[in-house]
Amino acid sequence: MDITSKEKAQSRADQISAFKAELAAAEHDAVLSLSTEQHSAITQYHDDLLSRLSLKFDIDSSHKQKQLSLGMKIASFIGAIGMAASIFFLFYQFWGGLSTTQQVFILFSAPVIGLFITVYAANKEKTGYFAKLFGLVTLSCFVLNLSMFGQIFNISPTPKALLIWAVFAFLLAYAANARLLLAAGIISISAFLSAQTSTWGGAYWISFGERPENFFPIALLLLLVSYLPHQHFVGFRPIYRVFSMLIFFIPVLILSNWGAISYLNLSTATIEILYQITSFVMSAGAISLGIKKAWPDMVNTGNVFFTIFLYTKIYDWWWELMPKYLFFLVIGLSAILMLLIFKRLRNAAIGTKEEVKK
Amino acid sequence: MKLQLSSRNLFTLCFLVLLATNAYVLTSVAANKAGAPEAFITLSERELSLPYRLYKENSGLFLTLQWRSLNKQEEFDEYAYDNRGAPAWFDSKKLVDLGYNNDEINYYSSSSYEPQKRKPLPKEVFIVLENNSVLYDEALKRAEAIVENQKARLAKNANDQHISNSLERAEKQLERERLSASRLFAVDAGVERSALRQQYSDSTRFIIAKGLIEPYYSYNNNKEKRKTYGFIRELSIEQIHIPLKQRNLFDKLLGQNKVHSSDVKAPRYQVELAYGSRLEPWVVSIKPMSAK
Repeated sequence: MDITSKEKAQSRADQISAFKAELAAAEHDAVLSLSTEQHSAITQYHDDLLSRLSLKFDIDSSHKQKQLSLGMKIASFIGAIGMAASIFFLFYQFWGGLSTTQQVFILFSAPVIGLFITVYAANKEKTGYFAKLFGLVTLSCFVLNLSMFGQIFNISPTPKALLIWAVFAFLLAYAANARLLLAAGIISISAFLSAQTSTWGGAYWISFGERPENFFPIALLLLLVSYLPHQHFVGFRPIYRVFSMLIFFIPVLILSNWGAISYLNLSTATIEILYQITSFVMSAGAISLGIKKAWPDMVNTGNVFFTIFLYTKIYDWWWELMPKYLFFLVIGLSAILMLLIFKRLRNAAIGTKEEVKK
Repeated sequence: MKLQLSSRNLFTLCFLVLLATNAYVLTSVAANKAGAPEAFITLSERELSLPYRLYKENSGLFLTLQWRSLNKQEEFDEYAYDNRGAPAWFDSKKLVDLGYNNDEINYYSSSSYEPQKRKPLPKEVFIVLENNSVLYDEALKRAEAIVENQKARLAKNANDQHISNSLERAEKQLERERLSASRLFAVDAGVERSALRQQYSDSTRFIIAKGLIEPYYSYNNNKEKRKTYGFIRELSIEQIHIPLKQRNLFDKLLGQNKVHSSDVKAPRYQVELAYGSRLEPWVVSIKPMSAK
């Protein structure tokens, strides 16, 4: 068995499930008839394979299991957010009544205990839901740890805290195989790098949001990281891709409407036009690349931003000029046009597949 | 099996990051307090105020550093003579010294407006604060002058309710200036801390603290007459944490009858505040002050 990741194991299990359903349909329509020996050989083979995959990767081998898994994911997410918030408020409620030594001890101990519980949960429970939940709680405790040290000891605010949180979140994300922690790490590192760029430009680090172009190198970096092999980490590459696009397209959206905050030494009108063109070209490019590489996450994110850019421009151009019924008619027609374009793209993709078959 | 091993290593790294970060922060705190303090100053409730209200879900206690600036004489009026962030000394030349270029400084003046100019961003520099100096005496004189001015106006227009109200406000302001307003004034700013400390060497009178500055403009309907000046937006550390062992007096004061924020009251406590080598402050001692 050359299956090395949970993603591949789940894909194989889905394939088996589809095969069983299709075989039953073909037999029902009398297209195919397998002997009892052949039937039992195939069933035995699939059952053995599924049992080995379940044991090794804890996959969902039935539709019902898949639904339960989704429920567990949602419960784990809500649990993690709830517990993280609870720890913050618990500390704030009582910290004034504790001595400085007690405060330091609790703030240091909380993420350490959280980390040990995460390790324990990761070793004891194959699904990883509890490890992911406690991983997020541990990260929250660490954020509380440093931010409260800052308040207790009157420490000057520094972007270095963002870097430390990012490193911790990345390590924990890869250790616990948790996408939510990966997203937290990406957000922290993006804020840190952007703040650092702002500081190099002579400004105060918290002003990093006022120069959106600071985020572009980070978007590129994340896209490059998404090309690295991640076979042991389910869903990590789409997270990198989606965040790369968010970190690129949100600044582009801002700059296409507010050129005055760009680094470019051009008039604000020119900057805005430049970014408007960029927004359409790049979002269309993302959709195209996503279709080519079969990355639904990239296609969907590209679609969302293309639509936002389009409607922002339609609003800019026509909201004041047109009567409202006409404005909304244009919106409706543009949506139909996009639908037709996507249909053509879809048909073209099907056509290409059929040509390959021939 | 390889994944298991790798996870274990990653968890170990997480633990090491936790350990190293906490060790670094606590060592930095100790380093800040080690040796002779950078500044050691005695302030009162006038300069270090209690919070206006306590929050039910946050039991921590902070004092707020109240600092001020003194505007140019010609700009003062009944309301604006102590605009907190815009001191008279902070002109466009000072902005250049602090690292802003001419394009950034002229951003707000319409006469030199060009579409490719970019809005200037705040910078962190060193701000010098002086306690109980000639600037406070000047602020007191201005408050007195405003009262005299209003009195003279009222003498000429005895039935003018508007002037009468203005006089009442000015008298209240003078009383506040005498009894409860902060005497801590921003007197200079720079990018070289050692040069500032050399110039303002009395560490019991001058605090050097990090703060945020930015160019701004004096509002004028006629845009041609808008003048750019420097503005101190805030100090990087304005909230000073009070540890449990120093809270007793403040808890008593906060438990007493509430004083409305607009009431003028004499200071009720004195605080010895130290600034360490990293310009991070801490409270050394607190003493009650008897009401005069």
